[in-house]
Amino acid sequence: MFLAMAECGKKVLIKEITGGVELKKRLSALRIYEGVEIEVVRNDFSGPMIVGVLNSKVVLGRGEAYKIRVE
Amino acid sequence: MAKKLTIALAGNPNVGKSTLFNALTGSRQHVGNWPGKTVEKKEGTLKYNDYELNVVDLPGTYSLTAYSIEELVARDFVVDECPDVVVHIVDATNLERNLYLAVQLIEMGANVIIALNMIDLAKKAHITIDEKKIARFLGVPVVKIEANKKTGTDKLLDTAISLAGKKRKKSLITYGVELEEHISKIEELIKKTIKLPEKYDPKWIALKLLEKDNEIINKIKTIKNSEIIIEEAAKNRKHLQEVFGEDVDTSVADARYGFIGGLMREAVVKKEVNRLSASENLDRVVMHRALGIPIFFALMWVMFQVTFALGAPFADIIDIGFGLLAESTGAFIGSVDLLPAWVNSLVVDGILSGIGSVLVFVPNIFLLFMMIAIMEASGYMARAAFIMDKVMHKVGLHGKSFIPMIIGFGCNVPAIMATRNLESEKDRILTMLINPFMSCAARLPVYVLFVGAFFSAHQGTIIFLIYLFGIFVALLSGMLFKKTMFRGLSSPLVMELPPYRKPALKGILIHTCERSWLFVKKAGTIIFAIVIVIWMLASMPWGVEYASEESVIGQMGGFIAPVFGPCGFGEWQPAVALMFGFAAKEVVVGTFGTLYDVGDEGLGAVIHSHFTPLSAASFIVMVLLYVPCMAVVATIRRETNSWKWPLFVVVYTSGVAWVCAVVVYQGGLLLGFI
Repeated sequence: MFLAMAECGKKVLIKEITGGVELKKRLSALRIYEGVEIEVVRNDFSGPMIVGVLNSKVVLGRGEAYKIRVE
Repeated sequence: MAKKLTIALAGNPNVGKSTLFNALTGSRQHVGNWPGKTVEKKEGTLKYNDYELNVVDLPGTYSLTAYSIEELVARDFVVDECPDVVVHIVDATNLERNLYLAVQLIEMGANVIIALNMIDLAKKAHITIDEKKIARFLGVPVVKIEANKKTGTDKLLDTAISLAGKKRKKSLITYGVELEEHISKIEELIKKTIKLPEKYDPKWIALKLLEKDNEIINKIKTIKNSEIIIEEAAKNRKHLQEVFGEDVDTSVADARYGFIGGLMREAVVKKEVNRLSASENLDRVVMHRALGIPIFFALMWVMFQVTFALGAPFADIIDIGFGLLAESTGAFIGSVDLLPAWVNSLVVDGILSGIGSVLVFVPNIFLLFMMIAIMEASGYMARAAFIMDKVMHKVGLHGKSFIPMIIGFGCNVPAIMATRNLESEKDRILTMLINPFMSCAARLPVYVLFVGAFFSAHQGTIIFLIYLFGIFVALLSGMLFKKTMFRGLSSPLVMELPPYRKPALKGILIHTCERSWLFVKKAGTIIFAIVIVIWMLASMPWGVEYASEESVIGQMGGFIAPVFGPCGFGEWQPAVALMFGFAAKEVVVGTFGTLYDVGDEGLGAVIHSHFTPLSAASFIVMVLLYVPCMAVVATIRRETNSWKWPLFVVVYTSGVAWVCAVVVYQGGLLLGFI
């Protein structure tokens, strides 16, 4: 499933990040890459969402959340 | 003689980098731009023991992959300028993510010191860090500091001085057998085939080539025989992709984080605690689905109320001071027989009244800049971007574009420069085009003057509404542009939500003083020059009454004034004021001061005899929306590298402003206002 569909409070494992190299590099600088577990801090199912990565919180646009496959 | 050393400060955004920079250099700072770039460069000096230390604050970045202009600037400085020491400030509460940058800096061969900041917060979060182990793992010194309390900074400087000039042992991370093999293969090839400048580490270059880093490829390209290496690297990259089934970049990120993960297990003890803290609760409120936007606007309203309530007494003092100065200067010049009358007129009517009418607004502008700085430092700005994302999406932009727009309340020039933070060209241009509608601090004096003269009962509220109207027009224009010129998808939104922090007073003050000083400097130079030009135009041809309709300026104004007839201010003076406002918005009020030949009764009273409440409202709308100042137009020209967009902005904003002013005035007349 896509990260965009993950429910608030769930911890999910990143399987794949589609989209360009640029997005991948931006995400990996924030420690979001394939094989990492992240927490869905907020997801309103519209507009941007917030994920928790270790001790930090990262805002992702809806479009980006649809480029990240998780389970 | 003192020995000189250059220390670069690197680090993620929001880790206390500026706090450390301020703690080290205090007021001995110089703000400029990186050569040829629109990224701000901060430098400062300090004397420490026998050394003169030059501290360079690098832009805050998460990584050094050179995907954004900030990353590129930071990396180029470390690689090309070879600072003696690079101090990497690390947030101890978020070590694992922060060390990603540390690893990259070390890979580059820089002389790195890790400054572990926010140790106090880490303790509170039950994180115990063994800095000696980290130092052993990374092969670089680690110093614990608390930048906000200035503890540990002496030790940091001692370490930096002892480290300078020493060559560090190379490379510590292993990227796994397969990847390492390819890295060393290319490294060997580099050593054999080309003459690499000494400042570049061959292993690092090999890695960058495998990562297909275009900046590095371009740098290497100029070296003889380099095409062999670039070609070989591309081949290896492809091969690795096939072997791993993933990009080399992912494998590299994996290896770096794997290495850091190992370090974390050894050196850091973390008690599992509930992350739900005060910050989380605050987020629930300020980022509430329904309440978020009202809270944001309420905060802005408070911001403007404070700006005016606190600023007023100081503005009065400056006003009175300039009045006294003009009086005594006039009396002095009058008492010297040799000086002709026109000198008196130039100094008192021209220079003093012009500069005075601008400087009066420094307290308001200072407070506004301070509020914006507090919003930024507290972590609220990023929340505002999140809240506004949905609204901004309707315009085809994302919430991040709202940050330049808020900065635009201060000054549109840095705001347009701040669009650099947006990744896509389309987003940048679109944000630049709508940004001039965000009312900058220089327009504020006009509102204060007119609102004070006509609608003084609800000054704060009305000025707040003026700003809201600017936002409204900006968003509407954005929507229009998106539907016509900028179709297509928005760029990705990836943004860290920094933890809330109590803003450091010192940092806020330094920042605010810098900004305000720029304003004063502008008042002292550009505005000074314009005021003199106005005075000359108002005094010529020789013998006319000063600033009368027969003067050159009066004739110019009279020529274009009919255009503003439908807006309700068809006299020549407003036309002249608007004309000069294109040079710098700060001048508008000063021009009125000169043209209406204001005496003791003050500009506010004089305005009353030239405007009605309705034409004042229409004039405010005009000033809010019409052409941004020359500096902004020039900045848009520089940022877009074409004349097309700045010219478009000039034409579009003038059109919009005229139409809105006419609607206000004619509509008001129909509704029975005067």
